[in-house]
Amino acid sequence: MDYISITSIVCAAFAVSFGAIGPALAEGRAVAAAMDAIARQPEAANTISRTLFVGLAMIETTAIYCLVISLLLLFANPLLA
Amino acid sequence: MTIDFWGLGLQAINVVILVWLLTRVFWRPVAAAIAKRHEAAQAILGDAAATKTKAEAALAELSEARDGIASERTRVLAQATASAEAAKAAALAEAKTQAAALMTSARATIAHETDAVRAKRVAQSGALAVEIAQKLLGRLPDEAIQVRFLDLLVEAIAALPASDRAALAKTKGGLDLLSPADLSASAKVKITKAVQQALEAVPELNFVTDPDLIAGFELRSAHFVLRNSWQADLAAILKELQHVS
Amino acid sequence: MNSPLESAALFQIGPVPITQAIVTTWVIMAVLVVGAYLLTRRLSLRPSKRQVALELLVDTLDTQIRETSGAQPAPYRGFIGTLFVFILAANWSSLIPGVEPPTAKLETDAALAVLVFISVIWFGVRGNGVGGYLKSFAAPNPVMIPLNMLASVTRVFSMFVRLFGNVMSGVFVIAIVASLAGLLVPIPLMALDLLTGLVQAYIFAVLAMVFISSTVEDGAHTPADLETSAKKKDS
Repeated sequence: MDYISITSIVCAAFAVSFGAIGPALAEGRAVAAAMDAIARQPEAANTISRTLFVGLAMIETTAIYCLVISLLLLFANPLLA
Repeated sequence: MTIDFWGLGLQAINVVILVWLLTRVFWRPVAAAIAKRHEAAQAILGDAAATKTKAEAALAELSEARDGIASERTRVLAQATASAEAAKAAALAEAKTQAAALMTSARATIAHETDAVRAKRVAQSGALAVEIAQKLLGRLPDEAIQVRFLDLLVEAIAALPASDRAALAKTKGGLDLLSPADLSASAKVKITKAVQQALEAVPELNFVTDPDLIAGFELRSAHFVLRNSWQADLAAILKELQHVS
Repeated sequence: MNSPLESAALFQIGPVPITQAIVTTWVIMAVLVVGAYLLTRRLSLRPSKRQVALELLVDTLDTQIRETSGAQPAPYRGFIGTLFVFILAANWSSLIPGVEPPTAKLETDAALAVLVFISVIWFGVRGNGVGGYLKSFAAPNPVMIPLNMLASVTRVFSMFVRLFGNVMSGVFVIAIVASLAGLLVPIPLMALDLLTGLVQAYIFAVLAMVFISSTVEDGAHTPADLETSAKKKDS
């Protein structure tokens, strides 16, 4: 196994792990804010939860990008071809 | 990483076909059913609204009619009150006039009756007086009375004016001398003598008996009467009484 | 371990390689169409329980479209609703053993994203004409034209990658866990995958609706919904 493969695997793990930290924090903040809003205005819970889901999906997208990058590194590494 | 563009196109076509089929088979029929039911509900609501409007119109009409009835009642009531007032006033006026007429007639009747009663009483008292006089006279001796009345007659003749006395003395056919009872012959002579002496003439004396005189003598000619009796006195008193009342 | 980015062809029809995802898609299509046909065969004025359920589904979809875009749902109902139902069915087809969801493959997600991209153009042109659609790039002002053109591509690309990443990662993780400990252990992950599949289907449909309606509104020069524009910025 040469260095490129090792580096690719390490970077894949690195990308997934650090790519998960940011979205995790962001989703925590978003859910906390949404809970706060629902507690303040229970009658707006429908709109808030819909917006929350959409927003969570948006935030999650960054983690998904990291996952795709890591998968590319692992399975479709252009340097290894 | 390689993207299979054949697969991509095939999947896109697949999804487009699915969209088309589901739109035909699922979305449109269900949406149409919802719309139809919505329309049906709207129609029912519209019917209900129309019915409600109709009912409200009927209610308004009814309340209007009720108002009309109320005003009619008020009017009839006022009319009845007015007619009742008029009838009352008329009846009152009539009763007043009737009462006035009645009172007038009653007053007239009362006056009439009072007059009649007084007349009757006067007549009664006259009769009573005559009776009393007769009763009283019955207790006295006839001669004394005759003497006394003869004196009075003589005095009365003497009191007459001379012309009258002369006319009396010259009366044709003689003088009637009325007395209450039949006189004795001596009395007749005496009376004749006294009268002739008083008249200073010798007229003929016809003695007539008249029980109405009660007591006394009266001298009468065709157009002259010298009253000198209780009857005459009583008549005078009666006249006085009638005058007074 | 097979790469989740590759897909092997089962057989060839002329030059066209038919993969397992395409076959699964056909099966899903057949099930959906036949099921919808059977379910909507007898629709009456007095609904049965089945019809009430269908009407509830359609009514919920209409409400979502109306709340998201503020537009009348009728023109968008077919496209948005089919997107949601198809993606949901595809995501949940992973429950059947041996079946890999078509949405876990690049081609299907890319096809869906391309369809959303085309539909944005289609509805924009249909709502405001070609001029109105082109004018929607100049919203809120002409300086934004390059950014808007870039965004119209990248937002679709992000939808594609999001759907692919979510479904594929769920399938991939379940496959890894199943290869390590086959019995009962993957069940919580499968439950999470169900939730993810539902949420991703919902988000894909809502985002498609948001893009379409924002294009239509920008072209019509009406003040865009705050929520709508906020979502657009996020993507």
